[in-house]
Amino acid sequence: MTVERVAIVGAGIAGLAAAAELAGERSVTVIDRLPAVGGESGYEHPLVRSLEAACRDGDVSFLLGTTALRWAGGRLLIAAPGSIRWLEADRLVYAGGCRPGTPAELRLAGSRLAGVVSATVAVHLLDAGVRLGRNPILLGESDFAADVARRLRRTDTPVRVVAPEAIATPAYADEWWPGWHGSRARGVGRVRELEITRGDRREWLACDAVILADGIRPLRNVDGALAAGDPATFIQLAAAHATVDEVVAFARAAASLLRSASMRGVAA
Amino acid sequence: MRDVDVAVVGGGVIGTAIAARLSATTASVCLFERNDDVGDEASKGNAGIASSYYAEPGSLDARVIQATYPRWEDICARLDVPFRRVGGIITALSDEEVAQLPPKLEEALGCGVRAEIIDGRRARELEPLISSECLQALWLPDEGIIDPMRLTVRLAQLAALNGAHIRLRSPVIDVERSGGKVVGVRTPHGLVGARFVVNAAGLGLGTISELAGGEPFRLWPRKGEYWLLDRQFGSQLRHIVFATPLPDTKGIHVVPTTNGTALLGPSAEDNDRPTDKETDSPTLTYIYERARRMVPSVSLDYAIKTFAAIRPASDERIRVRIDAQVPNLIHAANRSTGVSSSLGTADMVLDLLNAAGLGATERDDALDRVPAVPRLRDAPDPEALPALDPRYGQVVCVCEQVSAAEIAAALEGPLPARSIDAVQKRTRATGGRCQGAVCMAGVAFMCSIATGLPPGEVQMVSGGTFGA
Repeated sequence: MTVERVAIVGAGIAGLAAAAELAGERSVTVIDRLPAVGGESGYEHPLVRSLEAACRDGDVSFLLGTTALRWAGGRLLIAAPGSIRWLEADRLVYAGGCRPGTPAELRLAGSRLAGVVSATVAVHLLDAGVRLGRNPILLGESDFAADVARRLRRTDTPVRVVAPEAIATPAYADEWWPGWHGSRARGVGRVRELEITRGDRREWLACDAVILADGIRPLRNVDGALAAGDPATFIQLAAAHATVDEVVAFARAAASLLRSASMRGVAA
Repeated sequence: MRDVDVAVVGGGVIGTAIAARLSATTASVCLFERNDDVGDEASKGNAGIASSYYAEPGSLDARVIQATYPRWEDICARLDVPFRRVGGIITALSDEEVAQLPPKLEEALGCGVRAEIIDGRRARELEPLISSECLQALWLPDEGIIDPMRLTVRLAQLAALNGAHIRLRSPVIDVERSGGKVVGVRTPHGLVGARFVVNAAGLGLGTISELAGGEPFRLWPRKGEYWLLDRQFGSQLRHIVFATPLPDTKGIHVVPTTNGTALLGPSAEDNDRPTDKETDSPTLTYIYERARRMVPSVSLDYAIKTFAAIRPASDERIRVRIDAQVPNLIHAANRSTGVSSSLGTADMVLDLLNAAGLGATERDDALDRVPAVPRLRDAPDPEALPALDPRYGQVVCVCEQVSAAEIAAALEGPLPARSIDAVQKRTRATGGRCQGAVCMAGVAFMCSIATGLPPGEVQMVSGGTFGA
């Protein structure tokens, strides 16, 4: 019997843990957009290093700096600078991580304004030295919010957090509106105020940036593997907070499900 | 700059169509647009419907649309604009709505388009997503969908390739006059002399006419809000599903887009705030409820974006004519069928200009097409693309599968993109399911490199940069 070929999209901790779990018994290829393994956790993370070593020992192949585009039952269209090709695979595991919700998903009404950006975008811009605002508001209390808050603090920018579903005050919040929901952004060209609501209560907060870090959901962007019903295994722990151990446990469980499943279409 | 034969005021779909038409003639033309990009107002905020008919047969609206709709396949192929003649279904869900269909049928047939009243079962055969409550429907196979933003950009690019000047960030602040005629337009950058002025300023029609000493026009903003739903829903929708308009209900439609998503809308709220592009949840809820009545499987779980846009409203539906007082001032503006009437309007404006003494003749050397940029997402043979440009393999926007090669092309060439919005109009990057969560920073960095501006000074939307 031929060895089953598994393509894993995402070389973050979830993808690496799943790959390590399947290594040796399947022919595994891990694909990631970034040129290094580690995803959100970064290449230097000790667990990333040890999982990568386990993968290499198990003959896992890596296609880094490569974007997976389209899953067409039995082959995956992949693109890297200078090369676009189909990769033959029997199964697809998608471990491409999560993202915050968009304004529409968060039901944030109002105008389309400069200054309203996703936390994932904010992180890159802050790292490039862009001053996103002097008076920003973080919408949501999540690992994404923490990533942004850490960077804002470096530039002595006060961190204000509006979080509908927060339980404990995050250490990084200078000001904090637990249980409030961001409902409307207003401004001319650039955001100037955010309407927040809690039950019947309604307030306007002055701001010059609204950073979206709420409504964490799976990032699914490979055509043919977009929804739980599609023939792919999804390893995406969509939670506001997830520890590395939780991600690994989740990924291992999904991988063992996949191992035991005789059918395609295991949705985790 | 040198004087021109024709100054076109307004870079919406009408103004750019006129500039493109004139650029194929011996007339010199300069288009003035106040925003950072063409197509930044009503021409981007619409449902992308290329109507096959509108209003009573023989009316000016109907005539310019009739002069436009048979040409879409040809012009869209030449301009590399997505277009599909998907057909539309006007659904009637009550006896009152059913009674509206025969007059609509007469109107459509009178305008020379194909139309047929069908029963609910046949409507659901055509479009299985239509509600079982649908009693009857009017089937309009000639209705089309188009990418209105790409269309406007491509018309402006064609004009530019043919030598027209496109002046962005150039609001017309005055129209120079002499002896009862207009002689030029003034922007903050200076005066450009012109033998003729075409007023295609949309909502600004009245303001420009007043500056030019022309007729008074009263227009006001009509705000429309929309939901944009993901391909997971849009891919199931085959046709445009229209509501039957009744006196007390607004025409909320369910419209497939050329990129596979679907739009719900628009609402219609008249106000006096031309900059009010705010969505509000009661209106969005109303739109959803009306859409769900016709297409029960519509779900906000698929929502990826909401937006509001302004279209001009006025008592007089359309104007394509020489001003009653100023003989070298031509008005070209209408209410809500800008895209659908654009090509016919442009031809008519050329005829009016010639009647007024422009003396333009066709040039043999004029281009009639804009070089197509191959799209990774649509390519039948994606493996071959890196040979054209290795950057095709570098995918920036994953949701919409837009490569660095396509974004680079948008940042170069005629009428280069200078903002995230402008890149999105040309390529769809940042416009997909995640709304730029993955790629917007990357696109900002590409804009930064192309413009030489630091990333914080890159325009995210019209009038606002990433940095505060």
